[in-house]
Amino acid sequence: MRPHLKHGLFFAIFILIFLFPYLRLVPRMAFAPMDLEYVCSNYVNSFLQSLMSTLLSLVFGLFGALGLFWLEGRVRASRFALLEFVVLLPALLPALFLVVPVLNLISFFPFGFTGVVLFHALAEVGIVALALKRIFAQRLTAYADTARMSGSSAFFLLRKTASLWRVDVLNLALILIIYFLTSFSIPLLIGGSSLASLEISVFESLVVHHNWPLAMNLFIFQCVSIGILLLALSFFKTPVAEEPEKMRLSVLENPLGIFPLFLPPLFILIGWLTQLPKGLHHLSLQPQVLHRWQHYFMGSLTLGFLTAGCVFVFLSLASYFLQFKEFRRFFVSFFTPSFVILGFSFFLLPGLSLLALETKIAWALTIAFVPTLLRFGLLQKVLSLEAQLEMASFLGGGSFYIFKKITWPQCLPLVSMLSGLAGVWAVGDFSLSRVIAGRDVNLAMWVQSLVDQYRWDMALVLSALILVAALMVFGFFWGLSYVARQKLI
Amino acid sequence: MSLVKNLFKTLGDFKITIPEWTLADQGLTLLWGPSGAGKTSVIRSLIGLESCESLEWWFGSEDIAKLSPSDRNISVVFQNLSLFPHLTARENILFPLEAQGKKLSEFKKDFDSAIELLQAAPFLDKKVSLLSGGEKQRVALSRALITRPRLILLDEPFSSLDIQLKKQARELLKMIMKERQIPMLLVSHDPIDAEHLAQQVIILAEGQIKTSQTPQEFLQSL
Repeated sequence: MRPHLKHGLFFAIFILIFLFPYLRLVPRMAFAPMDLEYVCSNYVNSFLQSLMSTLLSLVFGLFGALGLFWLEGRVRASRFALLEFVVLLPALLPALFLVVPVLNLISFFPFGFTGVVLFHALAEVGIVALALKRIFAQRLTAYADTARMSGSSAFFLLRKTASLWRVDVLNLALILIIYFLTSFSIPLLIGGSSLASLEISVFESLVVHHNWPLAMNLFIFQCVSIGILLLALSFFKTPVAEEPEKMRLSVLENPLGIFPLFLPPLFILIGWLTQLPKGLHHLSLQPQVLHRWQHYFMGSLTLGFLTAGCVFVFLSLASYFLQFKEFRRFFVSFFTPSFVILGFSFFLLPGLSLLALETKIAWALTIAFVPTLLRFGLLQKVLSLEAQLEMASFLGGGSFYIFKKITWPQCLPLVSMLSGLAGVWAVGDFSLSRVIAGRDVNLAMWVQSLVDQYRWDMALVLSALILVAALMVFGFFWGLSYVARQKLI
Repeated sequence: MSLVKNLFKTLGDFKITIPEWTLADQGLTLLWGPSGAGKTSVIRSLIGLESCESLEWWFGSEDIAKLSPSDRNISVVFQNLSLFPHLTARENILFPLEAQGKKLSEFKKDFDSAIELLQAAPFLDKKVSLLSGGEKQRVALSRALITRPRLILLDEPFSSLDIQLKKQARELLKMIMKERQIPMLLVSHDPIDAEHLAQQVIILAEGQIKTSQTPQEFLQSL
């Protein structure tokens, strides 16, 4: 389908409305003298952190992928799907869920640069393992039996076939580097004084030093580096991979791979179970801590549902515009370069003070989450409908008719599911929400305040409430997704 | 009789060069050629899914190459059938009419006769994703018939089918030709299609039309 002028106009309006809080930053873009050494050392620190986080995630993820192949060959498909969900949990749940139990369990866990790298790798190992497993299944299924018959080991096969999968892995690595560069929650909790992420430097420039020019310079630095990485990403084209045949890749199985996969969920579980009695005891001694729990619970629910709703609207409109090849480049290269700047840009728009605080936070969280959610499957989903869109257009359908009959019904289950996921993240967000609100408005901020006061066990017990609120939001959108799948597909 | 002129297209190192080509207005013409001969690109250019600025396609005094793909009134059945898996067979068949805002009542006879001809009534209200390969073929052919097309293009629609389904599909095409007398252009590299279906065989190689033969001449030349 080719867009007409009116589509271009709608698209421009959509993007402008969505991103207009950023516009207020333009007057702040003035050049200001800065300590180049400070900026460069921060940037190098941030880049090294994201590089090390990426490398460690890939190493853990590689072992994890071999573990997944081993598990897949041994359990029923439904149980394997459940296990996949379990290993994804640390990446899907808010950072607090992993950080608090691990710090509770391992008192000598390093803070600063090393801690940030380790936590990033622990949080993302499941999702990286699944991505690597998919790459290997797509690229190597055809050779797996021959390799097995030749007595090849997993690592020998991977080394000999590196030219088949290395570009896919390089793409994954670039995406991870960008993701870790913009990471905010984990460096905020664990980073200490190491400035392990440029985001923290931006945050400190604004909150501690009230130095807007420095923050903007760091922001521009961040934007340029992400822009270069995105440009690099567009150069590494891989041949379209076929859907892998349902075949067991026994040559790539390795039982040891399940350890890095299940370590983070195990941390979460053990941390909870061991600290629960202590936390409950402390809470019974200080009941005044609990007096506003309902207020925070309602705040979390409101934020969760509002964000999920905003994301639902954005992704629905995105799936309409993704029908046009001309608009895809925007969505493919769309990234939120700095959560902190995003948060502060909401402060600067005077008109926005008319909006309720929750609406502003939900809007900001939507801008923050949608780049990841688009990459979680919506881009591929719409691309997979290409042949249907072409046929529908050939048969005379207009863009809106095709959206209504073809694209929307087939994307709705995924859009609902992704909106639910955004709701879960919103319920667990304390960093961006705090920048905008400046005070505790939800459970996650409340729990983080307890963490700041080293009341770990209480924080752990109260984080169960975050899980309840997250499940309520996710349950609603999962239900919507389920109904849509039953009725429409 | 329709006349295709100036079908020139460059695809990297590969060139399609068809200065003039006359398509029969009855029966089935087989476009035969080895893999990589440019068959699919020719079809996609003809129906307007790939741009070809120089192309002219004259039906009488009308050059349909200047029209949008949906206004050319050409139906097409692709190898993968391109059915919409989440819609029912009925919704798939009626899709082109609804998409173009045509009144369904005006096409009721066409719909009923296509359904009767292709014996699609038993599965009309089933979702396409639940249909068998043979049933899907019938839906795709019904959809191709519903708009009263001036020509039906079939881009290797049998190539991924098993022997039994191929046989069934050939019977369906024969039936459509007999009942509706709509001209068809079938892209294939299976000589059996020439033997059972074609009135004329066009041989395409390296992006050029090499020769036009009767099916008997073609089969002898193999």
